[in-house]
Amino acid sequence: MVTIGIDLGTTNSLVAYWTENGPQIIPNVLGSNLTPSVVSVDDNNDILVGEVARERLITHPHLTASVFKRYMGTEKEYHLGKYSFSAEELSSFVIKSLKEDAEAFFGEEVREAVISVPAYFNDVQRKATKRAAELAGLKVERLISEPTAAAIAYGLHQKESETSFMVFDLGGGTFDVSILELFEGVMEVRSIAGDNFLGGEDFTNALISYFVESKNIEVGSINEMEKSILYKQAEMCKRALANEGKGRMEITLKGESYDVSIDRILFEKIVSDLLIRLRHPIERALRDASLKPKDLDAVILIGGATRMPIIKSVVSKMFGKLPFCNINPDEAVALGAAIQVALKERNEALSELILTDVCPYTLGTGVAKSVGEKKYESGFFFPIIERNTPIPVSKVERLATISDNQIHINIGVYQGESRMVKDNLKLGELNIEVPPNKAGEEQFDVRYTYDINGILEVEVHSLSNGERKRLVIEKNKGSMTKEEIEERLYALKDIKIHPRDRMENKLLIAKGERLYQESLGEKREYIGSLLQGFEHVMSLQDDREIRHAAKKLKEQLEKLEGWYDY
Amino acid sequence: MNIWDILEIEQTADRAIIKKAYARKLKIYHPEDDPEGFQKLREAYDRALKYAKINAQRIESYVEDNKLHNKNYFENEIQNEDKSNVEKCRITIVNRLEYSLDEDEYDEDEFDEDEYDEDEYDEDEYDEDGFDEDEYDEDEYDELEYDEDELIRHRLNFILDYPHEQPVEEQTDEQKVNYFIRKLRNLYQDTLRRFDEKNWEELLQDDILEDLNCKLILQDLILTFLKEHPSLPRNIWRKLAEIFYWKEEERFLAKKGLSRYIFKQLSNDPLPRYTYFEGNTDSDCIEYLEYRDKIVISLLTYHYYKANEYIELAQKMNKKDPDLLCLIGAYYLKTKQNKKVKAVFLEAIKLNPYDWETYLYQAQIMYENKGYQEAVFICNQIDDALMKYEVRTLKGKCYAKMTSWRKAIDILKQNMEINPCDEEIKKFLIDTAHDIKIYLKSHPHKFKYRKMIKEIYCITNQTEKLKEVKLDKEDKKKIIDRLFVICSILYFIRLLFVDPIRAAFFFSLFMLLLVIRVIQSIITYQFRKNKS
Repeated sequence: MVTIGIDLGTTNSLVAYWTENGPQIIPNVLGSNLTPSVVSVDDNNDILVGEVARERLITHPHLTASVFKRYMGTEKEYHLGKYSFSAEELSSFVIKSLKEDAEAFFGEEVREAVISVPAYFNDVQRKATKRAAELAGLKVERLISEPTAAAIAYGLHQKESETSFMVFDLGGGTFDVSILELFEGVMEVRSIAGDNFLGGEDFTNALISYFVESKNIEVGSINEMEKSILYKQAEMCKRALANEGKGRMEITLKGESYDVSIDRILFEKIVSDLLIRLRHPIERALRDASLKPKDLDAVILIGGATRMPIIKSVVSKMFGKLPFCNINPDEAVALGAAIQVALKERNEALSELILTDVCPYTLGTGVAKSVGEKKYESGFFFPIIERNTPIPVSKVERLATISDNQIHINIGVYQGESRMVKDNLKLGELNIEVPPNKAGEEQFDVRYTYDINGILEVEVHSLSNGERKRLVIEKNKGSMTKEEIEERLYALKDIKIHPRDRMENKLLIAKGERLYQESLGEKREYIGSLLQGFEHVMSLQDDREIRHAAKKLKEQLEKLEGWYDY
Repeated sequence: MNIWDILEIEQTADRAIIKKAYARKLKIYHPEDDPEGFQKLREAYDRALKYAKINAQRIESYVEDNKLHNKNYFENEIQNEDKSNVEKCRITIVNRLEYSLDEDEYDEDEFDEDEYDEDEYDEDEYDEDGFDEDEYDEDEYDELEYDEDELIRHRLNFILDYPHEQPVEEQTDEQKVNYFIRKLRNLYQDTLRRFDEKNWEELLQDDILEDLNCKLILQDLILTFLKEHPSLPRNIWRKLAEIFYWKEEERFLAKKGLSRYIFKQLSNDPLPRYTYFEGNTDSDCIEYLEYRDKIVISLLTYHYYKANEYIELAQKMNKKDPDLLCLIGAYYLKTKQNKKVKAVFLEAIKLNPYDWETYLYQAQIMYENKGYQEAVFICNQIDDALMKYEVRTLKGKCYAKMTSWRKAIDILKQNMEINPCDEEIKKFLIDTAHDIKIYLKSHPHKFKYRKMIKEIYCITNQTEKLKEVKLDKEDKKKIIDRLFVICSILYFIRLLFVDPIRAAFFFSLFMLLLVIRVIQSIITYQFRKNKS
């Protein structure tokens, strides 16, 4: 029984496994290592995942969802056709698709996985990820932080004995910074920090904003389809900037043609605010690790967005050295997850490496502080586990009542860095009763236990009457019971995922439709006739003919697309 | 079991040895298999490393700078090729370092004495120099953390002991840092230039703040310096907060003992003004201003004894400053000498009766001390004559605190229309919605409050929270009940005109139903009361 490692990314997802030669990526049904994290509903109400769905972002934007990782753990609903899905359910479709790719590869069932989450994901988001995997039929024994996974992938290639390095992970939607130390067979995370709302997509959006503003286009007048086209134009411009140093964006709206040229200097100006936002997490991580930039031996770049040359130059300037990017920035996390699978199973080749991680947020409770003479000010945040404490960890603090004859204690569980609880995130609460007594005489212990997966358990123990109460933090429900899983699955059962064997052709048609939409005049007519021809061949149901026609269509579409591989 | 036993090594400051020991032990106390053993091991390891670090830093932080100053001395001796003298130099320097370290240890005890508190008002705050406001139990003091702060203070004192000098061509990081701190100190001490924001802006644009290798230690040194020298214009505090992200690092600041004062500067609350003293660079005047700032800090950190000291010193120097009088009023309020407050406020106003900012300051002080009625009264005095945005904001806040939420929302809404970007009002409104929610928990049938919450979320664009405010089953039942009652009454009236007998019958039926309902609600109310 193979356990797989999954990188569930904002823009792309991957799956990998461990071999004796090291970790390997498992290709998907279309033969590619990357599966876009996009989900779409087709005309038969089947679910499409991956590249096909991504094409449909432009042709059927109301039936397609992307970048939903940001909303994991929230109540946000995506209305696709007749369905309504949560971010969790959408992620489960992606995971299921990867699971099927692995099963096709191995020729046997896959039931367990290690999945990566951003280091900065909070408890609620991590639980949501676990649930998404359960819905896809996978048991998740371990969640691994993405930067840690990438660091492992990098660490194994290391020959030196003691190294400190930073992992700079700028993905599609999140930015994570981690500082790690490798010595004597120990891989230690020193500190982590990040910004959950900063990623490559924001750079793309900055380009779009610039385009729209500089051409005085009214945002309200752009429809969904045009928005998708603009987005794609911005993406391609970004890549052109990386490959050639300059790019262009052009679009025709309501008959008017607009286009703009962008070079690297202009791009730097456009995204300067985003670049400044990169600094705070870096500074915080360095301070928490008590390190200076020159103490680091290397900086590793991962995440597709780090391909932008502007990122490489900013990092070089900040750290006084060129960053390492010899690991494929898209694949590093998945490879790391596969290594974690091996570590978990204490695979012989890796028995030497021990990994320690840290808690990304400060966890505490609400207390009242005395402000002289029996007066109390309530609402202060009292930390019990500080951020960047190595995990697993369990800490206990003793608190007391503040009024005479107080019989109720409310322990609010909070996560965050602010002084007052109202500015922090409330994870849950516990209530216990204590016997009435003078103020301060009734004492109780509050214990916070943070396990190796980043899940928090709170226990309150009253010293006088011995009462104990425990809470595993769950905003939505925690691990689903069997009944709940079955209930959810039942609700989803009629929703079929589009059969794998016809994926390639489906992709071709979707691609064709998208190109059709983006083109005008003669070009459009030509594409239309190509598609018609292909569909005719498909209806004849002769496999060999279909394969032949598909190959031809693919070549023709590629020529039309131009040479940017999207 | 001390940390060295756990690691199974001799006490050492050698990081490599400590790390090897940890790695060896980690195999036994694997984090996945033995969480408790791992935690103990890890804590021992972290403390051992800290010990090693502090011992290394003690000497290192002085050597670089010291080398520069003693370079000439050294060079002369080297030129004389008198080896024994060179050795003597080195020994002298090392001795001097150790001596200066020892010296400061003595100082510590002196400080302790001052903290003996005669009033009842001082309490939890462990205090070293007047402005520390540690929020944690002093028993919890991490010795090693305390040592780190000590080191920073030593370094700062050392830097400040030397006068300004020209930068050397190739500066090490330590030299760059020291140079910048001296520039900062010089700007602060130059009373002609201290209050001009432009000078600070120029200073803060220095490249060194972009260099992360230096920025971290700079922040620590700057904070330690500003603790003693807090008299700066508000905009400078804001600029510093921007550069160092202080808004997001509240708890870190609290450890340094400045967070309350800095957050006061970052807010829009009124503070004693420099306007009356503009252009006056008399050293007495500067001293006076510094006393004033120290009064503010003392009041913020509940050090009323110290506040009183500074007040007396300040009063001796200047009897005609309305802001000082307002501060004295604040002091009286906090020390519960309420009767004196009115007199001193009146005096302040007499000095400058047309200065609305004095009124505002007084109202703010009242607000902070929960004297909401008085604050509103003062605000109304200004409001009648002038319409001032800040005054209305304060009035709105008072109404909210007095639970006159309707009035509060109306005023604050108006202000938000004038200035939609006002983050302070936005935050305050959201907190008020939170308070109303808590109130609603015990009075669930008051629809108008629920409407108010919705209104607040609309004004502040909290669309996510808006969806959460839904009518629950209880409310729906109540609405249906009321509709039912109205319909019945209408029907009854119609019946009266048409068929009096039936009307009477209907009326008695109606009264019966009413009685049943009342009994029902009494039961549920009692039940809920017992539950909570």
